[in-house]
Amino acid sequence: MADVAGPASAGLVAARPAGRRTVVGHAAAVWAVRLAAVLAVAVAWEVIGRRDALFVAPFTTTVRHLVDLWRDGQMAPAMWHSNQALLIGFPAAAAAGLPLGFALGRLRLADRAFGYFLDMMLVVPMIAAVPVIIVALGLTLTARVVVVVLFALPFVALYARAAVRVVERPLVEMAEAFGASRRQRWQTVIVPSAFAPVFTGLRVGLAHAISGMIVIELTLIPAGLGGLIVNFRSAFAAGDLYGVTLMILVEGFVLVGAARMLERSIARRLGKTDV
Amino acid sequence: MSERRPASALRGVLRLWPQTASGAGLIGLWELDASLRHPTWLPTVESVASSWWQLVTSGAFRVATTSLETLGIGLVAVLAAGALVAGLLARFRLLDEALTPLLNAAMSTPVVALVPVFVMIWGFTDTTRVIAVVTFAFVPLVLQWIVALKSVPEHLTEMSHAFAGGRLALTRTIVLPAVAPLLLNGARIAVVQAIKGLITAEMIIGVVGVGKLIVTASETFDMAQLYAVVLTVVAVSVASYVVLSTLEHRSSRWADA
Repeated sequence: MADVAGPASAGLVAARPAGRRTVVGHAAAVWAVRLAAVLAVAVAWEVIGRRDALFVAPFTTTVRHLVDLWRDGQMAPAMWHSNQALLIGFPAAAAAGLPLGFALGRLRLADRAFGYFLDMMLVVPMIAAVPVIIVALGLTLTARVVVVVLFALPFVALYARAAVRVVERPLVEMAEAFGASRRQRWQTVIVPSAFAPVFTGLRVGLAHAISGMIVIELTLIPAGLGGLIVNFRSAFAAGDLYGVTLMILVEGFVLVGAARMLERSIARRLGKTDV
Repeated sequence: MSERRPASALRGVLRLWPQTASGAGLIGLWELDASLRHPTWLPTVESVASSWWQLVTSGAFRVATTSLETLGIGLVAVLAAGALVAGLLARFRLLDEALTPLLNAAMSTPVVALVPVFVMIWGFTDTTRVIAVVTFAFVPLVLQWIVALKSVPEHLTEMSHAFAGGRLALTRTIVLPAVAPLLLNGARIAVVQAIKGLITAEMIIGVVGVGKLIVTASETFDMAQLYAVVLTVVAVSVASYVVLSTLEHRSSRWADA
């Protein structure tokens, strides 16, 4: 069920070519193809934008408008306004989702009774719940926080549930057989094996929290980044609209990328390199 | 899973008693709260039910057919594009190593932010909705299908060659069983994402399909109708998910046999 988010990281099975030179050559080829792909997208965007400047702002124009929006002081307040919901909502989703997931993972009956609600939340388009939340809570920060929590919580909880379910029994038993103390068992077996999926859940949850933050501002509350988008769209200010959109994509990319790096470094410290 | 006895249907219901109890409890709490406190945001169960019936009989749900049409077109497009790209990436290692990390990075960006850009380009048209469906589903689908296509066990294909198995036999006995469950898993993810993309686009556009029903109901504070539409969306998404999961289980059982 938890795989709706897609494969956490499609494994790149590293090749083992014969010599050092071929390794370097292969890495160079990979990077060349990767850069070519990114460049191709940027160039295509630029060309289309120059042909049809009314609806598509070229890549360079988009970047220039993004910089201008920061300079003339429109972007900073919007970013702060929107991200408040994320700053409160994501920790709240983690604080509620982790214990919930752990409990459902250990208590079978509770899981059978309530687990499927989480599964449903994963499958259902959450955006449809936004109008109900707005009627209940008004156009407030609370409403935005609730939407962020609803978007992130199922992922956090479901990955946490899977993590404590699959603690490898044989490994725990082996540690016991070798006379590992309770603390050692936790330190060497249980935490490392549960860590990876729990953190993956937090990372996927973060990506969805950012979506939630944008969704509520786009649908019914024109404020913050969503407010800028709605205004620029109705004013047909293509450059500004593309600039804000790029900013949101970059924010998701940076935050989730940072989470991924953190995940890797902690996993390495715990002695698990295959994250 | 395997035992089949005459009273299996009843037995199934009995086995699901925790789920049934919690679901019934939730509806009970909802009804109790709605009829005692009358919160503005929570209509009673029977008003939602009658509003739903009215939507069905008055033909208001007919606008949903355009939504389903868009969903169908978008799904066909994204499955075709996904098959092409996943095929290329699974076939050529260099492309896979170069581009799969980019696709993984794309997973972390909020695609919903792109919908206003699509509206800017294509206006309130069907194209906008189809593009939204495709963008929501494409990356997760491709990532899953690459995994699927790469999962053919090599020692079995070698064995098939060793026993002089033809191409057809190889496909039927080894490739399909290995790949089918994961391909269906990818399709399931694509359908879930496509529905999310469709509803998101329609709610941001606000004047077409199911999204229109939701937006009008919430703008006129018609809570009963809002719940009726939202719960219908929930039911359809869950139903399509369950159908595809069942197919997937079937296929993996077939693959194991």
